Amino acid sequence: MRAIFSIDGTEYRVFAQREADAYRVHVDDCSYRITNDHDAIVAVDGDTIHVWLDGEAQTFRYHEPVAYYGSHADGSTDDTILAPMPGTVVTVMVKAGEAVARGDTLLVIESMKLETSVKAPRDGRIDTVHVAMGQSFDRSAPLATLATLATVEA
Amino acid sequence: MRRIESRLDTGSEEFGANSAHNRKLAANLKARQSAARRERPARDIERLKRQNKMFVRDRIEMLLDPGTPFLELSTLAANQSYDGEVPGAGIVSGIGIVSGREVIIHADDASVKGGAWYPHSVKKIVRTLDIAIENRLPVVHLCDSAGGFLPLQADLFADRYLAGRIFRNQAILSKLGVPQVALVLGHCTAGGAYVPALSEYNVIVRGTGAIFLGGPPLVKAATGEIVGVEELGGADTHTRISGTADYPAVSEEQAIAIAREIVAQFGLPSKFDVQRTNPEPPYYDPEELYGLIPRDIKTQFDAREIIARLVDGSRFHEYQPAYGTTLVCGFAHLWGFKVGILANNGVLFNDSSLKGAHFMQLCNQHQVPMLFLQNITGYMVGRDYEHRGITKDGAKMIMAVSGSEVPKITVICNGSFGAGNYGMSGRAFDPRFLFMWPQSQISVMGAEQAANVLADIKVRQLSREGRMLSNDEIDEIREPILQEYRRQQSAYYSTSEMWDDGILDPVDTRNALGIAISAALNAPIDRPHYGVFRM
Amino acid sequence: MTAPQRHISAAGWPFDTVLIANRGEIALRILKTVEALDLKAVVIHHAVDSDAPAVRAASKAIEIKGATPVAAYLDGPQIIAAARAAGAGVIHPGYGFLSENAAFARAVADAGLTFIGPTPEVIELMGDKVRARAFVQKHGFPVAPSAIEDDDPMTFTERARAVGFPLLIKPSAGGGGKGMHIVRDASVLAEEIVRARSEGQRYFGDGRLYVERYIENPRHIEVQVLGDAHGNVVHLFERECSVQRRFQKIIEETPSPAMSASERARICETAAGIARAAGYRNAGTVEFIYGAGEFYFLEMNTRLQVEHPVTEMVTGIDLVREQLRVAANEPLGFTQADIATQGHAIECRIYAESPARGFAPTTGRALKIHDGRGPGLRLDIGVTEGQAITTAFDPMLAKLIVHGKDREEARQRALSALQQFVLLGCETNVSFLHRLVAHPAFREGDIHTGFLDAHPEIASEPVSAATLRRMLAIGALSVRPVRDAADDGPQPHNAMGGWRN
Repeated sequence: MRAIFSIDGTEYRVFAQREADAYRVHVDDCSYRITNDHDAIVAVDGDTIHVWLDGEAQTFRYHEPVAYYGSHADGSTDDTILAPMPGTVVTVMVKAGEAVARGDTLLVIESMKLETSVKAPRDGRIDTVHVAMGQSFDRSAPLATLATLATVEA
Repeated sequence: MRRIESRLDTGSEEFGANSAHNRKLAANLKARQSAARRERPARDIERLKRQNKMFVRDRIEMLLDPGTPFLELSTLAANQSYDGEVPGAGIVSGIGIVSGREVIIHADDASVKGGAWYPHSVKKIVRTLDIAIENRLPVVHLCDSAGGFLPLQADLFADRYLAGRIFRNQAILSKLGVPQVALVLGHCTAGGAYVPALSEYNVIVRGTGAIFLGGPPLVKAATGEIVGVEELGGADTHTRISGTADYPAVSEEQAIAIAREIVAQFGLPSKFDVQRTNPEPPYYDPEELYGLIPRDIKTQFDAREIIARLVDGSRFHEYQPAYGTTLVCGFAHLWGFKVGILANNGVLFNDSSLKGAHFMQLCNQHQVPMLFLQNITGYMVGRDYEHRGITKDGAKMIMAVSGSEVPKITVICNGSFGAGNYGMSGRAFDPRFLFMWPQSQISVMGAEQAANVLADIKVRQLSREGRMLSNDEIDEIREPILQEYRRQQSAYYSTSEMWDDGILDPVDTRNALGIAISAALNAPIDRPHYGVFRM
Repeated sequence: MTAPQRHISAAGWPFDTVLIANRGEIALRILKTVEALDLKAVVIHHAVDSDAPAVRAASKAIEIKGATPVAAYLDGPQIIAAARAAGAGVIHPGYGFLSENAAFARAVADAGLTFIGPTPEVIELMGDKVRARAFVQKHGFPVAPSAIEDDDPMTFTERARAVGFPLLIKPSAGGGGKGMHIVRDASVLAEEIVRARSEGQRYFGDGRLYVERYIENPRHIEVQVLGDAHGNVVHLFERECSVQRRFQKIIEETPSPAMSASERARICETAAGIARAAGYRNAGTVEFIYGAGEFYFLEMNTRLQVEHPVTEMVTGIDLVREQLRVAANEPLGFTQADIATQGHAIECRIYAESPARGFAPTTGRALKIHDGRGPGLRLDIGVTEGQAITTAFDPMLAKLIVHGKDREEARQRALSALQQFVLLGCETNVSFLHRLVAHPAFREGDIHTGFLDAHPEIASEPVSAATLRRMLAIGALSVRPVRDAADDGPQPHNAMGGWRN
């Protein structure tokens, strides 16, 4: 089983092999010989890996396999609306149990100088609102969850 | 150790012709393996898809550590049974690395007859678990079997080495402290239910995995109770209520990920401490083995040329180079592991038999694993040799090989005929692993010799009835006997019957042996002790 | 270049302790000058900033509290109390927060302390865009065509339409780009006015608006001025800050590559004239829009500007030192004739933001910081390793300033410094800045405030797939499960690799 990394939703399958004086790291179908004297700078914060190389910095996420394959099997992550950027909640327009139509504004968030309306991606019923007015959140934080369609029908 | 000086003329016509011939044989092997692994009726593939199941090969690839080897065993088991419809006997078995640990994998192939166990399937699973016991290898079971193939139940159920042996072996493994993980990826019914139950760890996939002694139809027939699969033996039933299963998983992928976590918890084995050096590839290219192996099995060649293409740096310390020269004995390193090698270089005479028995004692005394490279037509026959005690000298070899404590690994490189098979650690002598090369043959005597004997019997029987046969008529009797004999002495027949652990492309032999020796060293090695040698 | 460089002694000034009422890079920047003058520095800080470099470096740091971190830095009474407790005679507000708050300036004066800035009246004048504009116009300096809501709220929309499109709606009380909207089409004018009013109300507690003619692709030119309490006003030449995103400056430089010597003289004299007319005291900046050879007054900032270092780099004058001197009631130590510039300076603002995602702010923790080395490089940085980067404050993390003998040398030095600068743990705009400075149009000085809209590829240009994979290959080796699998796998298996029989 290869390790799974992602950056901005693109996934990579990775493994490394030890060679005499280097590592051979396989990323999807490519492989790279990495010696200890590479010029990159790496900082790890939990499952987040930041890499700087030649003036570029990128952030990768490592996915712990049991959790990764667990969450992907459910396939219902679309029902939770995630914050597109860090910010603060300006207004919450809906509450749990409320029916919403696609395109309805669920809440308004503010990030620095921009107000953004967070809209319902589809028709449904609000299952949970995860944030309250004035609350700050990070990027990708859950803002609201729609009930699954099956639950709505029932 | 000195490097072997090869005398093989790689520019010769003979080398070229051999090379072409043996490469074709190797390609044929790969083609047959590939078909056995991947070619399935479309409806079976569709069924797996419909059931949301991964193909067994993909399961194994996902389970293994990436970038590590997998030595698949008995790839062509049952290739000559059941009209060839049960490729690999419906089981995949092999040694690989999971979470940094050597494990042996038993995987049911649900794309073959729904994973039903045929008699040869049972034999293959039992052999897999025998290997686990002998080499103390943790086992990962990928369970997806419809259960025993009922029309052939008499051939798979009751006898000592049949289905019950699977569960007995599982229990013995546990007793020896060798852990097992079972992944329940389909229905484990009846006997199959015991595979996860007897594993110390098991993972069950919600929706597709189930464990029960009798499935819903059988329960209904037996007691009238109407119950669904999930409630009877699904993931939640067994992980929450019965405790028959340990870990629920939402998908096969997650089950595999959990299994990898479980294996990662296993203690790292302390290997038996044999001499090890840094591995070094052979000085002579193993590809030259193709040009070395003669096209005609009766053609003699120097066994040192094989050794030179298997061992580290082609270096070999030959023992008693001038004595009993039809058996080459000596020490080498293979993937860094020190081994004692016994390789046939002609018929076994008295001196070569004594040398062999002596060398085996030496290996046991110094706890060096032994590698047997068979190319043997048998022990020498005739008055002089009997007078010199060829039978008792052969018996000494058998006594030594049977009583050996060090791991033995056997490769049938060419011919394996008669009692030579015994003295050179044939299947009956419990080598940890036994492999064959594609062109090799195994039988009690050579095909023509045997066909003549069998035809003679027939001719004599007919002549007693007053019939005299022309040469053509004799040939007509002889030819089918010869053909059938040839089929049954071929490596493909041997491997179909699992008299071996698989046919190897000669160039794959070095890696296979490296993995095999490494596995063998997981088990302790006792101090040497034997029965009585007839002196 | 002679007089401004002379040593200044703070001996005899009416204060010996300066309270720095700010955070981040500017707090540290001010601290350095305060200490160089042998004055004592007191830094206030909210708890979230307790690891900040200025707090660590200060001989005295006082924690202030607030409902939010920002609220703490805006809490005038608490800050004045801290200044008193610490025996500080003067408060330096930096930029942002209370730096242009007339009420605070008054409260500081009422407490018997000195506020570094102009008089409260001048702050109020310049803080009200409408009044400031009228003031400038009245004194005969150029302003853009406009309409002011307050003049007659009932006819505002109509008058706005008469200004012509495109036009820019601004909150009267605003600043720094907040709540500004460009309107190109009359049909959406009413709608945009409503939105701008709502934003003005929310940001500034004041929904009043004004509109002015929007000049397409204008340049943003500003002039640094300095005045003392004795009526002396000088300018320290211009800065060009045309490269902006969402009305926020990204790159500033001086001199402007666009202006002729006579234009430069004209705009600088205009700025000094406005400051003089206002009786301006302290360092300040007069901002203009400039296009097609014309310039209009935009606004005046009555404080130290973020981009002040480029002026310092070319003039050799420490602006904070001059602010302190003015606060000490000393006359300016030099005349206009004493001020000359040498070479070219460029400042790149390093933000915690994602250029590819519309410059959305990013958060994280500064796990590793490596500042580059090189001639003519100055790095004003307000974060240290380990410090959290949140949305609580402005996303600017650092300013990278370079000086060279000419624009091209400065640009090359900027490229080299950006190439070497490392901040890991939070996405920044550093590689974007590098692409920007390397861009041919930037190299040619062909810039305007719409530059990034005209060249969207600079913001979105992704890292090549191969580079990304290589970076991941390196990064993956720092992940324990990946590294351990490579290191701890059994032999000879690992050496065999993915062999199959």
